[in-house]
Amino acid sequence: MQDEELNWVKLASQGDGEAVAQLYQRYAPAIFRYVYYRLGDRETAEDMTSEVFCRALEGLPRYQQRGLPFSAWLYRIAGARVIDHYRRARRRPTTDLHPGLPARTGDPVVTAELQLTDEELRWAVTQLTAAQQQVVVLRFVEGLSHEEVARIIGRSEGAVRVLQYRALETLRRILQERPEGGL
Amino acid sequence: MKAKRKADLLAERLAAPEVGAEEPSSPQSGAVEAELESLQLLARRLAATRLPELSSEAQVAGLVRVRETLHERRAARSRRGVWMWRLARTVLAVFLVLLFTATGTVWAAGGSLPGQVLYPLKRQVETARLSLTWRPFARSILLLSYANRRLDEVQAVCPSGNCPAGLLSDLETNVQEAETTIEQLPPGERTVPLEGMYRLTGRTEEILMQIIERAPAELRPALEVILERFRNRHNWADDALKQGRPAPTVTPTPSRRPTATWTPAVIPTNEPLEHWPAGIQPTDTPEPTAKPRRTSTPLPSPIPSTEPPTTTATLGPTLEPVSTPESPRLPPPTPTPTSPRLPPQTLTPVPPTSTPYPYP
Repeated sequence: MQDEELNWVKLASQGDGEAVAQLYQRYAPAIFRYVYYRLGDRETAEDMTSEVFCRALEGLPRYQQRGLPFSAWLYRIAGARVIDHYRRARRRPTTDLHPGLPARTGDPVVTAELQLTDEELRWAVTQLTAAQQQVVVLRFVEGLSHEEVARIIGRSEGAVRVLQYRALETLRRILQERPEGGL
Repeated sequence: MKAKRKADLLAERLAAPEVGAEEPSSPQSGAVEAELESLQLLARRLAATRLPELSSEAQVAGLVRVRETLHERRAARSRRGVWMWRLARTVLAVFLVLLFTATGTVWAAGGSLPGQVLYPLKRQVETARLSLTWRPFARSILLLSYANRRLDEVQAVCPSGNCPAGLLSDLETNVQEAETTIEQLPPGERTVPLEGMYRLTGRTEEILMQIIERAPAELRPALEVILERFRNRHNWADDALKQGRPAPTVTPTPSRRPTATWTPAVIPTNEPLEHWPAGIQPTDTPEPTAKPRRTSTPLPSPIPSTEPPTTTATLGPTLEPVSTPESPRLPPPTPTPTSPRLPPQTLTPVPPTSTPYPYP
């Protein structure tokens, strides 16, 4: 799989349309989930997903394989695009303990353990800092290891573990202080 | 407990397969244990999040957008290629202009004289060209060519003998080096450079004699020394040519020098004029057929000598054997124009006379 991916990346950097399509079809769903979890808006997430791949295409000639999967580079681009989106929208993810709760829409998934809907959880994640959001989404939503997350966000594994702890601690506090339900 | 320690403990718990399935490796206090357990539950809840998938329509739309970006990149690259081609074309044009300018400058320098701006460039080009010429034959021809140039310069810039420093010595140096190079050539390759040497030294003699005539008295001795050396070289070239030439088989011809072309068949002999081709007489002089040795003779004097002529050396372009008084060195019958090169001398038919040919 690694060699095949490298081959596609090489062909895509040379302008091969088929290789570009293969990479898009493989990684677009994961990038969409990542961006959606952080933004909360489907349309914006869809636009940003294609924008991430367009940016990746422009930067392909400069791409260097350094032992990381191609997806790690895409996640980096996606994280930068999300931060730019926040800046443009003049929204900075904060640890405001009294944010407005989103209306319950879609098909909420209520678990016995925590009685949290996915939407509530996602909203709570958007209240974290950008770095905490990245760690939470990459570690728990995408299922990446500490090492992979560290390489994507450009920090050490120890820093990722600390970010993970602080992110979960802050999430717990946010959810505890919401009016209905709690941990 | 510090946050970093808690973070490490939490990471260990998260790496465990289930919450509470195993005893923790290092049991903690109750409060910490409760905290870690709740965070572990929250992490598990996050991992169980169901997110909407990228719809097929959105996926297709995204792929179309990515392909458009790819096409734009290709178009930009081709535009860049066109721009690069235009830049390369401009650079090439500038290079050609500079090349032609440099070539033109070098060509213009070829006619420059000592004291002119381009003269040093002319000499540098000669030096460079000589350094790249290593074959003896080509080197000898090149050295003779440069010696001819020096001679032209001498004739142009020092008609009165007051030559720029080093010009005459450069001339001698070129000739001497040519002589050395010719001597290293195999016999079969010597003819052409020897003929060139012969013509050059003969022409040098003529020009030097003109200069000596007009030179101040204090310069004449040095010029005469140089003249003598060139005479010796002229004799050497003549002897060398004779050694390599087969026995003459045709009737005499007027002269070996200076003709427009030299052909081995035109061999001077001692035949008197009567045996020469009818209606043809040499209008230029140099050597009589017997090729008398050039020896030290008095400078040209207007006073005719009563002795029979022993040489036909003349500085003029024409010779009238009937009326010209005999002297070893005849003054030029006509004014010699000052030019870098002597006019080519040709045979012109002269009506035969009854006067015997003056040369032995």
